Order: sequence, then C-alpha cells, then structure tokens
Amino acid sequence: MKKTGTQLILDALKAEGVKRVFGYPGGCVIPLFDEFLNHKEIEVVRVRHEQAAAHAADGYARVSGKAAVVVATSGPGATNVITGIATAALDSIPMVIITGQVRQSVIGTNAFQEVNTIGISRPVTKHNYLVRKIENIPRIIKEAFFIAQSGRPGPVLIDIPVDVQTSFTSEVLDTETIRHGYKPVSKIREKDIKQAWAMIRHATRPLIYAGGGVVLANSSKELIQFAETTGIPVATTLLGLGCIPGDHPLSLGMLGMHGHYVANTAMARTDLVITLGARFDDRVTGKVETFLAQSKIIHVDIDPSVISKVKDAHLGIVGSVRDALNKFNKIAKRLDIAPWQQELELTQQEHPLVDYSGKKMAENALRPEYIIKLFSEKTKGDAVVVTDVGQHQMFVALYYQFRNPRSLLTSGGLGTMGFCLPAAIGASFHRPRKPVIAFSGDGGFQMNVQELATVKRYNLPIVIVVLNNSNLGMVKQWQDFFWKKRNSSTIFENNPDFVKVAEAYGIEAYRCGNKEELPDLVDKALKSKKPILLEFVIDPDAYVYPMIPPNEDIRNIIEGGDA
Amino acid sequence: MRHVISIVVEDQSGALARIVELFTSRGYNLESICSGEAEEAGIHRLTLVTEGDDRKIKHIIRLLNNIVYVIEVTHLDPTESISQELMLMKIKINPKIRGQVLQLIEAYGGIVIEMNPDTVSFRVLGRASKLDGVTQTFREFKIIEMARTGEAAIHK
Repeated sequence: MKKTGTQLILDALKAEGVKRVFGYPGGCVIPLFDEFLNHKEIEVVRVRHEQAAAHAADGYARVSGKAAVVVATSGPGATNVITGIATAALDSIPMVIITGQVRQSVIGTNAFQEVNTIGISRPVTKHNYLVRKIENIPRIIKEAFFIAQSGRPGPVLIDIPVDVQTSFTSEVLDTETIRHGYKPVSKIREKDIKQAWAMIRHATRPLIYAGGGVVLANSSKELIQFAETTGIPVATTLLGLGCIPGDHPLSLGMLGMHGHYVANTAMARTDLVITLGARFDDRVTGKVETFLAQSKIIHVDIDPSVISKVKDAHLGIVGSVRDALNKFNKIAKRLDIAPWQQELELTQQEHPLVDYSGKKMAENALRPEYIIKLFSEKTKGDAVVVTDVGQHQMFVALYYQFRNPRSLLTSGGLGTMGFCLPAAIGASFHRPRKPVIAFSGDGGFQMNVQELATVKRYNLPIVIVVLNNSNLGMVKQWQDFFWKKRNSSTIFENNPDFVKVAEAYGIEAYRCGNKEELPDLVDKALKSKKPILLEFVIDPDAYVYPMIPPNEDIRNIIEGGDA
Repeated sequence: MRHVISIVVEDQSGALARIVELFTSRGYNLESICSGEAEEAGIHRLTLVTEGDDRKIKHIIRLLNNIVYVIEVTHLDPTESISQELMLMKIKINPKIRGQVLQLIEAYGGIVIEMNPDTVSFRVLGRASKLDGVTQTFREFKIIEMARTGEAAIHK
C-alpha cells in the first residue's frame, strides 16, 4: 500500500513508543498535524509558543528519562524552538524535534517562512537531518531517537520539507541504521577501575563530585551505595541535586558560585576528587587556576570530550557512570577517613545556611528562602520541582531538600529564563504521582506566561509559584555587589497583577505577602487537584548567599547572614 | 603551533559544516582543508591544517570524534605521515625573464601546463612548507593568479 510521508512519520514515532508530542501548527506542518488526527494513540499537546513546546518536551524528558518529541513549523516556528533546543543541549537532555520546511523546489529562495533550519540548529543539536527522500523517513527517525538517547544524550532535529510529507511512496523503505562512526558508549577497562581504587584508597580527604550525568545514567542508587560503603562525602552540581538525598549524612549539598559553604570547602580541601558525570562548569570552578590546585582528579564521563577539558585529569575514565559505579562497588571497602569526615561536619556546623524561619523574619518582608523551605517540609522533599532562572533558582537549590533524582528540573547550562512554566507542563504530562511545583520569578514567569492557556486547556495540577520581588533579582544582585548598585534596567516598576493574569486564563490564584497566611496557602495549593497560582510578594532586597564572586575562589566567599 | 588533522568521515551533507564549525566557533582559522574520496566508497578523508593552542586543539579533536558522521580522527605527527599539496600558479613573463622563470620552475620540480608570450602557468607538488618557499621565490615576479589545494596527508 502506498503511504504518505506523514504516515511514515507517524509509523516511525509509534515504533519508538511515542505517546505524545508537544507542538504548534503552521503552514509547513499542516499535513503532519492532519495525519495526527488519524492516529489517536499519539496525543498532540498544543502549546502557545514553539519555545514552550521545546521546554515542555525537555521537562517531560527530564522526568521520564526518554526523548520527547517537538513539532514546529518552518521559519519562525523553527527559530522559536532554538532556545529550547539549546537549553536541552547544554544539559544533555534527549529530544527529537521535527520541523516543517518549505517545499524542496523553493529551498534557498527566501520563500515565505523559510529559514535554513539545518544551519541554524547545527551548533545546538547533537545531530540533525534534512529529509530529502520519503523512503529515508523510517531510518532517519529511528536513528534520531537512537542518537538522542544514547551516549551523552542530546537533541536531534529532523527538518522535513512539506513536499516530502505529502508525497507517496511504494518503494522499498530505507531502514538500515548503521552509522559507522557513532560509538556512543565505551566499555570501562578493569585496569582503570583498579588504578582509580588505588588512588582512592591512598587519599586522606577524598570527595565525590557528582553531576547531572549521575541522574541521566539513573545511577543514584549505585552512587549512594559507593558513598556509604566507603564513607566518601558527596558534593553535587546543580543538575546533580537529588542523586543523593539532601539530608543524607554524606551529602554536602551543592557546589559552585552559590553552593553550600561545606561543599565548596570540601572541594578546596580535598586531595582526591572523584568526578562523576560532571564537566567543571565555570559556575562550579570559579577561578580555574586555584580550583583543585592541590588535588588529584579522577574523571568519569561518557563523553570523552569532557575529560580534561577544563582541568587535566590524573585519571580519565570514559564510559557510563553507572558502569563505573557498579565496578567500584564490587571492590569498594570502608576507608579510614574519620578525621576528614569530622572536619567537614565541623565546617557544616560552623557555616550553616541562614535560617529565615526564626523571629527576625517577622521584621522583614516575606523571605523567599523561608517559602522554599516550607514547600520542602510540606512535600517532604518529594515533589517534582521546576525552576526558572535566577535568584529563586538558587534559593530552591539551597533550601529545597531533594530526596530523589529527576525531581529538580532546571536549566543549568544555558540558564534559560522562561523555562519553568512550559517545563512543568511537560513534567505534569508524565503524570508523576507527585505534586509538580513550578517556581519562577516575576521576570522569567513573564517570558512564557502565555502557557497558562496550555495549563488550563489540559487542566494540569501544577502549583505555580511566582516569587515576585518586582526586579530582575540575580542581575540586580550582581549590580548591587559589583556594579556600584547601578540598577540599569533591572527594576520592574509596572508588573501586571499576576493574580488577575492567572484568573484571566481561568486559573485560580492567590497573592500573599506575609508569613501568617503562608502555611495554609501552601497546604491548599498542594491539595489542589487543578492548576493554581500563588504569587508571593517577597523582600526586593533578598540576596542569594553564600556567593563566591565570579572567577574567585572560596577565600573570597560572601556568607551573608542578615536574618 | 601548526596542527595537521586527518578525519575519516561519511560522505553526507552537513558533515563538513559540523567539522568546520568546531574550529570557526572558537575563533580558529583553518589554514587549509583538503577533502576527497577515501579508500572505501562513500567515505571521505579530510586533511585540515590549523594553528592553535595545543590544549584547545586536543579538545577540538575529541569533539570531532563526537560528530555522528565522523569515523576516525588522527592528529598527524609530521614525522610519521606523508603529506603533499598541489599548487597552480600563473606568472607574468616577458622574453627577458622567461628563461629564468622556466629554470626556477624546473628547479622546484614544477611542470609547465600552459605558456603564452606574456604568461606561464605551472604546477608544483610538495609539502606545504615547500610551496610556501616556492611562493616566496615567485613573489619576485608578478604572480597573476595562484591556488593551493591544501595538504592531503596519510600515515607512513
């Protein structure tokens, strides 16, 4: 039987087990959207902006661990998804993006809604394809999913001209998917594990530096087992949060510019760091010259290009973090590092996070730290938490005690404002048996505020929290600290009434500016089985502490403590 | 430092663009790119020549390996590889200098392809450094046009 290109696309998506796609229609994907009507097994989640489709797919993938699908039209549809693709690329999130393209006969003529999608997306995709022959569709879609989900995951884009979508084929389909050069995973050599263990055994102050790779490799259990067997403390990156429970005795919390004091101290004092699925991002290292200057480095990563990129590793191990941890766990023994553990415990006691739940809080405006902590306590650290980017993102990272991997969804690498609401939509579609809480600031919330319509359309039980300080908090913090308090363009004097905005979309909403009403409101929201928005009017001058100024080290840490 | 990188890659659209982008997006200039069919059908061998910081080039080589279409990347050691490049050059001549020009071409092992009363076109083969020298020599005359293919290299 002759099939159209769009039928082949749907067949291929079904073969990959795709249950839903996130998309927005347009001229060059009308045939594809039409075909979706014939295949009820695949739900089309129609958002209100293509960028949101990409973030929603991203959120879905972060929770489920599987590549999610984005569909957008040519031209502006394609350019709108680029930010979402780059966000996924920087955090190694699997994603398959299908874009429509103008018909092949007019490609390259500046046709209506034509851009060079392949060219524009190349630097932010792991791989991309322009489909020129209908018979290649099955192979390309199969390959795209394999590439997106294997090795170091990432986004793969497939650009399909509208004439390829509508053409018929009866020819033999191309399904062979051999890519000679693509070797996603290297097997870890026993010799390297033995050498690593010898280094670990001789260290007096060993430290595990766990990144997003531990979460992506679903190796949280293996990590905890290794840490518990050996007694080695664990510091995580922002994307690594949740791979060990925040209240675990061996958890030191988050590293980096706004990391926990004890985590950064441990990094400065360690004599052997075991890096697992992390990439020495500048927000973690600060000043590279002094970072780990006294320490040996073992670096395990599935992507060989990450090893020794920023700091030379004394031992680089290419392979899956999970494979490495399984091998370590076979030989690991308790280490004699009690003095090191005690030293860190003391540091922890001497430098706790500022606690804003005390009496002094009453004198101040509502503190964001307190709000986050309350959510953390009320959900027992077991919600799916989505953030936007900025101060609130760091407050969440510090004050929400994550208990599980895949429970913090945040744009760590690209730092994309506007990520939160659509990513929460994607997460909510995965239907976790946990509340989905979407924390954003008043700045980022307005970057994809139109998605309230999607939340309403699908009646998604997301708790949308807007921490409103009427300014662009993180940039303002930098201006206040490093730019003589010259708040250029960071004060948002004319924010809309967020409660009215939500109500205009048909979503229940409340505003709160004091500590007394807070607990009841949080309870009410967490019990709500439908969308709800809470706007908290917070202290406009709250700063994120601790802070290591950019390109500095822990000696210059600013601890704050004005509670 | 000068680096010669050999890349075996599937003959697919987009492969070259991804390779070049890894250099250009970091502000590296490619001195030359030479590409053509390799020993197996459907597979190309590219020889890239670039200048750059050793550490950064090493990182780029790892990134090259991550490109889906790339099969193999080798950072070529000049002592363990054979490389050759072709140069075409057209020189303005007159009866007075014609003899001298022809002698020089011969001295470099060049071959005259076309000769007119006022121009001579020839080709020279050799390593890039030799062709740099040839260019230097012929700058004494009037070079009307020249083109170089970039070095192609294989292992010894």
